[in-house]
Amino acid sequence: MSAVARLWWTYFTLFPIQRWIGVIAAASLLFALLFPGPFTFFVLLVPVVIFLFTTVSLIGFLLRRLSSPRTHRFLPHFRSKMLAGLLSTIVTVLLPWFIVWIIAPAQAVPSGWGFAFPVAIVSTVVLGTFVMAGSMVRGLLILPALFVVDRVPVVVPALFADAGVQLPLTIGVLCAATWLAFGIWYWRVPRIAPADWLRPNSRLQHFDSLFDKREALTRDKAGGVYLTGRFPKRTLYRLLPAAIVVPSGFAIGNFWADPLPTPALLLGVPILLLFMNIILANRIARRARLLWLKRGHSRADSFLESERETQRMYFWNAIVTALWLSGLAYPELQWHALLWAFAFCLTGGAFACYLGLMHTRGFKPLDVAAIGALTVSVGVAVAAMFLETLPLNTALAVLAFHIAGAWGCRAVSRRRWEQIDWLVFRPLRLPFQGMRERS
Amino acid sequence: MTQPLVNVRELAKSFGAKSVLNGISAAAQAGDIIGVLGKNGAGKTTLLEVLLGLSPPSSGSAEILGENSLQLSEAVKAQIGFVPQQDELVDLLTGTQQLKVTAAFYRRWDRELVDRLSAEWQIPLTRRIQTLSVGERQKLSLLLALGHQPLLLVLDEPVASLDPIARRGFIRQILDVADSGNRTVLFSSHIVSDLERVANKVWIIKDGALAWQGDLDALKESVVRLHIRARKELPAALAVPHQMSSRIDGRHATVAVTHWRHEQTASLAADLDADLEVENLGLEDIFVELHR
Repeated sequence: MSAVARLWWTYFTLFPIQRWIGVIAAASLLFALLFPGPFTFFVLLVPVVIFLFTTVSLIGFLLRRLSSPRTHRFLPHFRSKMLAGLLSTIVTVLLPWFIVWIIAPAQAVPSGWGFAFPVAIVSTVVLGTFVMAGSMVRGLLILPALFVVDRVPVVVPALFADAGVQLPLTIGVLCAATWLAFGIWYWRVPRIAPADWLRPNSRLQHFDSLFDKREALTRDKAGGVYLTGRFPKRTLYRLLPAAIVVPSGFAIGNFWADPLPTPALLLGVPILLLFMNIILANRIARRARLLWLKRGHSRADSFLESERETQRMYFWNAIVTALWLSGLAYPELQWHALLWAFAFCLTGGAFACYLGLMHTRGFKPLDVAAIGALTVSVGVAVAAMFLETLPLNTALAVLAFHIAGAWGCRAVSRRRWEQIDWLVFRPLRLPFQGMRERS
Repeated sequence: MTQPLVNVRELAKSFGAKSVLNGISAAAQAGDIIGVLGKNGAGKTTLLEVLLGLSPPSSGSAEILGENSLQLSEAVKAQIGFVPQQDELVDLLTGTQQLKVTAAFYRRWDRELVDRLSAEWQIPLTRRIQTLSVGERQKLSLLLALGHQPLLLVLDEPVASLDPIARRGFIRQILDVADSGNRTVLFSSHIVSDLERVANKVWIIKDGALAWQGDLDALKESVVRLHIRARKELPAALAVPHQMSSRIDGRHATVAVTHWRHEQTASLAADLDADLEVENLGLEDIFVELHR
């Protein structure tokens, strides 16, 4: 296999989760082609979209990881092959969108947008994550740009049309210029800094430490420190982000004249939380190893302690997210919207968290089945996002599905934890030398 | 005879089709300082982690203070100090916070010892752990394992990242720990010279089994290298009992043997019609000969 083909393959298959989603996406695509139907076709395409979305999200990060080792500079034509691999991956990711836009009979936006919009989004995400992987602060500055690009097709076209500017063409040219500039920079830069986005920022850490609890630690609190990796904080520390996030939801809801339909907000947005919850719960599960010799717990007790910590996390996240979403959906607090949002966040979060706690032995058939079930749930949620109102039976079915999934994953988790092997399932190691503060 | 502090019976561990430990049986008494030796991937870490109950064995059993490793009580766990190969510190905490958090788990915490050692080892406790060097992290991990004065100290490659001064300090500390009370230290290391200075017993793992377990002095007395200078051509295979390895070149041969008794020298020289020189080996040479 040539170096460029190998890089292309690596971008799509480096992580096990990518490979499994890829398998599900391929099966789903085949099924959709064999049994076509408008709704089925749409739902079955969701895994493909998730697969492409996952890949796009990882490209920038992987590009930095693969580019930064000094030893790679001695590989023949390394930089040119990296750029060729990157280009071929991005073209592959964009190809389905172009095809859909070409064959779609009725288009909601002018045809130029069918090309310009995906290119702009993919370019922003890839370059944004590339920068973010090198510096979190610089990366965070890119996020507003991402948001602006996302909203451009909805908000700005009329303004540009009045000025007689061909916006899709302009965006296309801008993207091409950006990639050209990046390519030249990538080709010439002496060294690309490694991914050290967790490098401590002394000012932020000083601010963070102001909220550390001063009183003596109990054993339970100390256990929590090992599981979460954070020193106990005062209550204000947890309330502070919520105090910013929740009003921002209502502020945007008031400002935003053309919000997404309510089902999209209440059912669709919590999807984004699911993946985060899986990762966080799995991180807690891995860290349970650190407590084995410090507490008198059995393995079953270790599971219960990790479960409690996970519940605290997703319960609080569900409250904050539900308040934020109900604010986005309605300018004033609507209890029914809040309750639905809370129910979706809570049950979906529980399903995802138990999936994270369950995943202790690599990808076994049960893990794949659970990920498949979660993908189906995401598919239903994405399909419902395009409805004007949320049908009650669909909403209840999604909730029931989440609860059943959480219950099933919990049962499997408990059984697996009886024989958990912490020699294999251990906290993920970060390259801490690369995280040392710059003097 | 008193009950062994650590008792391993027919311990086997496999990862899928790959067998790492094959029926290891060993015991450690109170006061033993045992060095665990083996090549990379020999199964040292696996042995130590199975022994501590972090990993369930495929078969056999491991006991600490008479309790099955997989069901250790709180009282027994409080008697164990463990420094894993890769430290398990909480990156976002400062050194002082990490000490506080760990101390919260134990009823007995020797603050005086911890303060003395942290000053002696120059650990910057006010800094976040993620900003510490590998050596500083390792020293902090050692402090955390020593603070509650455990009866059993298990150290997996504890000195690999330390500078020579810190290594000497650490070795002195191990000797102090072992001397003060009936403490047992079980540690693996690639730095054989350190191990030789501290350990009174060794477990050498080869091909998933214990190639040697017992007193270090007995091992050093028992394993020798014979330099043979014969008067006529030597055969391709020499009939030397308990042979570990041999190199034969015409009338000269070098043979490493175990279970050697010095009374054998004269009779073997006569049998081979050769001059025989016996070389006593250090632990590093013994280790190399065992793996030839």
